[in-house]
Amino acid sequence: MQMDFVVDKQAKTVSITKEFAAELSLVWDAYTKPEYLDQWWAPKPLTSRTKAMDFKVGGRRFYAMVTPEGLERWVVQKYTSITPKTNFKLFNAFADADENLELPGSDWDLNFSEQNGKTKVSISIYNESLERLERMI
Amino acid sequence: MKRDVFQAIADPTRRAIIALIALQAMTPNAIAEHFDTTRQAVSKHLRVLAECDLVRQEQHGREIYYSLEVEKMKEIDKWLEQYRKIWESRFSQLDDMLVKIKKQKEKK
Repeated sequence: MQMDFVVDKQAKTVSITKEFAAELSLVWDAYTKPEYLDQWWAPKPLTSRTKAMDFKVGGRRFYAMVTPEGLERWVVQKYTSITPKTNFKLFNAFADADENLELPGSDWDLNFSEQNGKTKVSISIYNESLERLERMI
Repeated sequence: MKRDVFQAIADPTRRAIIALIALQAMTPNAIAEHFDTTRQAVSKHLRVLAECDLVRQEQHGREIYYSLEVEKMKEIDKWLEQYRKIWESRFSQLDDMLVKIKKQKEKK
């Protein structure tokens, strides 16, 4: 199923929508459990390695994107709001290996809905500066 | 650039117009036939696209034909492509993983 990808420069927002051929509870788990996230989050040939994750409001996922050469790019995603199986919001920022954030970051809003056994996920990413997108992974 | 190019291509109707005229140069009337909208509305969209140099106009007799400025589109694409590609490969990996998990569940 095709992905919809829209950049609204004025609103400094990127919106990504995709439907998945699986029920909501499974897709929700895929986005919120580290053992699943590490299987799909990093675009090949990169791999994702979650060092710590606590999926609750105020908690965070601290993970690295790892290149085939073993170079690590650390990212922190702090969960700011969670409505189970419906929505969660996070603040995303690059970091060093000691979890010191590189600001500014971006605000993510993820919505989940199920229809006829398929699950639609809509992600909206707000950036203070769209130019930063070029560096984003 | 008089107008924000990213704002111009964020509109779904304008993206559909771009897809149409990428295939061949068309008049506003011919474009309007493809949409549930008026010729005036199409002209307005074309004006927005022209203001950010995304379309080229050519006069043939009494008709004006619009075609896509392919190079301009490529510039934008290059910039967006990186980010779009990341999400595409991410999602295709997620598609694969979901299929795998569903199969495992069926076996049980």
